[in-house]
Amino acid sequence: MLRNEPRSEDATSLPPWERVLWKKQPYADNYIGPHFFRVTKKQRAVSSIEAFTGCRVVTHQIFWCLLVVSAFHGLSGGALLPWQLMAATAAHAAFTFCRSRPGWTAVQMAVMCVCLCGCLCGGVVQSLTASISTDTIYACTTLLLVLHIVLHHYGHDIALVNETLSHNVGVFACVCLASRLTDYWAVFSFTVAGIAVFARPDREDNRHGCIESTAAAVAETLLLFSVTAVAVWVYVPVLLPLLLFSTALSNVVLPALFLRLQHHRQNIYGPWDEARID
Amino acid sequence: MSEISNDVPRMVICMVSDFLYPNVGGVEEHIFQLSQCLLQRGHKVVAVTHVYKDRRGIRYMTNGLKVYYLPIQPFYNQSVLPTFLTSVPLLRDVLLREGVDVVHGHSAFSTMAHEAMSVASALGIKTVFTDHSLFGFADVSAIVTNNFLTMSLACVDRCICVSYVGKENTVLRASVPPQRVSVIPNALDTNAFHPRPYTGPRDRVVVVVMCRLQYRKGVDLQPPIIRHICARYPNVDFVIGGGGPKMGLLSEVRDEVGPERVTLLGPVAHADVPQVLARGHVFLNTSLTEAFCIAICEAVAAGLQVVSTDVGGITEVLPPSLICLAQPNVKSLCNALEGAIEREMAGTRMSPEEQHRLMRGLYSWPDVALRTERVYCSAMWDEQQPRPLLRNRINRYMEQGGLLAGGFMVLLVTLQALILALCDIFRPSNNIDKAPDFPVPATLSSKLVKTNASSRAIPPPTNEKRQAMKDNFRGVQCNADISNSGHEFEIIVNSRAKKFIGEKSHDSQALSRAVRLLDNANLCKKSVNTNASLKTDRKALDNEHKFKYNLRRRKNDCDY
Repeated sequence: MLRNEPRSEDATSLPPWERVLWKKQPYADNYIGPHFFRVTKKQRAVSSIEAFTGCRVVTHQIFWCLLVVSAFHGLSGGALLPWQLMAATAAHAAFTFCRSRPGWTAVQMAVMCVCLCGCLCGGVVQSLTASISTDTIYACTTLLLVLHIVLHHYGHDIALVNETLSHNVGVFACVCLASRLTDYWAVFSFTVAGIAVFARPDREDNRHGCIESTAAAVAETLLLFSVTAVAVWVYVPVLLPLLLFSTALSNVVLPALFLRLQHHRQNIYGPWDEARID
Repeated sequence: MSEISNDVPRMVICMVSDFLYPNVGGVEEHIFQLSQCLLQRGHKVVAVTHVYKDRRGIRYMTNGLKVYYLPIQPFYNQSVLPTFLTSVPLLRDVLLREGVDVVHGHSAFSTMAHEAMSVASALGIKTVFTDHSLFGFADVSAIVTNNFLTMSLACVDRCICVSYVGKENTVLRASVPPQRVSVIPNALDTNAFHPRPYTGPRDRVVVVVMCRLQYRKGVDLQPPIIRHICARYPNVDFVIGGGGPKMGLLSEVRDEVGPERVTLLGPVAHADVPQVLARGHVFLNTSLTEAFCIAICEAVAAGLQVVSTDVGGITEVLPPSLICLAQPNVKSLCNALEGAIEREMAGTRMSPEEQHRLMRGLYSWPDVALRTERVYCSAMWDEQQPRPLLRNRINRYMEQGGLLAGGFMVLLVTLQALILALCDIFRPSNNIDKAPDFPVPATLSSKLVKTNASSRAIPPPTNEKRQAMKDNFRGVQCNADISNSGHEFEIIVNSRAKKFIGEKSHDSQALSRAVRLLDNANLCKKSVNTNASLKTDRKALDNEHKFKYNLRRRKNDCDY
């Protein structure tokens, strides 16, 4: 009983079908005209390279968290000196400045605020969690860092992203860890390093989901992986399995899962979409 | 518009939706009006929904529309919790008790509709689904919803959409074969919406807005439009009807331009909408998405000029002479609205009576019912559709949903089949009381199963089709020839009709009643005083102990 043809036997004499409801047309209700579907492309093809480079920002964020934890263990064990951490932080800040090129006023204000707040609050931070057990602090810090990774802005505006909360939980995790350090300058240098890592503005390529080139992305990821691997190996080798697992997760499992689930996402835009108010 | 004749067998149709009276809305209105027209065409219609506060059990509405308010509490947004399993025994009882031939689910948001269609498919009952809304594709909720809809519609026999855009949307997001989707627009009661004399000041032009005050209706566009128009035209006022979360936004504008320029009516009952429309000259619709938009049709029928956003299926609904379309932004809407106001003040607009005359022929509920009936028939007589065996259903789900979603649905339907098997053991279908029909007046039932061989517009069902129908009805059937005033009728009798408590019929036109009386006579072993000469093929009737059983049960069939 299905019909896809006009009722009349002589279809050529019929008026052409129109996409209107108000006109009585000699076609069946389930008729499909030759140009009925105005959308043919249902899915956006994503290559493996795109998936990998898209997931690298997650990888970087995981590496930064592990670097912070490694620095904490280095400072608390005496293997890393405060001035060495400050030097590394300065180098990172200079590198970030060269890439993002903010105005000098912003840099001066940021440096002044960080130094003043770090100096003044160092003593407070040092005794902030004295009444809480170290295990509790470590557990709390772990959860906070996971939350930071989950909520971080990776370049796409989705409901889950909360940039402010992500930065705040990252900095708070640093403060929690810093409160376990005994040396004042260690607290200061670690707090400054934490702020430099977690409270820095997201780079433009993260925001727009683009990169300079695939080679640059791979090089940057490899460099960061090398630094993190060395830091973890030297200061807290027990985290090496975590590093390897997270690296595999974010560079192999997540891109593969993304490619697998991509066919469920149908990027179809048509007259049924809700209009946007400018 | 279709190939199926106007003469169709009487069907028992079950409308299922979470949205039904006493709830008020477009879907509820559609179900009620469609049911009424199908009743008038002689079919039996029952509706199934969940409880609404103290409204539970069985209620009867106009013309004997039977409504089951099942004891399932709404969970979110008036919909029940989607379990697919817990409601199976209850829905099975209702469907078997009523002897349903077609289950018609309404609205993609209605979980009860999806559950009922799934149970109906498992029972071998034909299913039809009407999609009233449009969905996007690009966000997470859309992906989940569309996958759910794909699974739910995998075993549905036919779909109905209210506009061509809706059909495109449904076919794309639910992967339904487009040949199985019919486009049947909504309709309106033009008797209720007609031009009425304007009783306001002659020098004023009133713009009417009637919608739910929410983002999807484009309420955020209205404040700047009101400011602009009020500043430019001192003699233009606004009347805004409807309630919703954006009421505060419009209250601010009213306080800004003055309460004498902007009147906020709050929520308006649908019965009062004609009176509100009678207060205005121009109707403004700012929706951001619409599958059909019945409001603009009502406004045109009431004699108002209509200015609307060009979104969704709105462009398909009205001819260009009856609507002024604009882009969904303030500037475009203001330009269109200014044009309508200028025409109103200059007196160059189309007369309200002419608008009403044009609208009368466009959309009517009887036409919708007729076209929907054809969809039911095409579902009933579709021989290409595989039999609703569990194996076939599993194959369909796996084809449509793949390993993840398909596997999950296979698990659900397997459990559902297990529950149905247990129900068959502990509560066999022949133990379920068959509900009698509401005593329909002869004037309503005269259009039933009347198929004159000489005047049929389509050939009668072939033996294969008849066998398929027999399977579908799942009841013992017999062929009866009724010689009545020289006309030959072909009738298919459903054994469920045996439980009808008939009276002596003198109405030779009410053939359905005659069929029942025929059946009843065979059961009661007594003569029936009809003018018809009745001959039956007793071989096809049920065996005697079932007759006795039904006779005993018949005494309890008095639930109306």
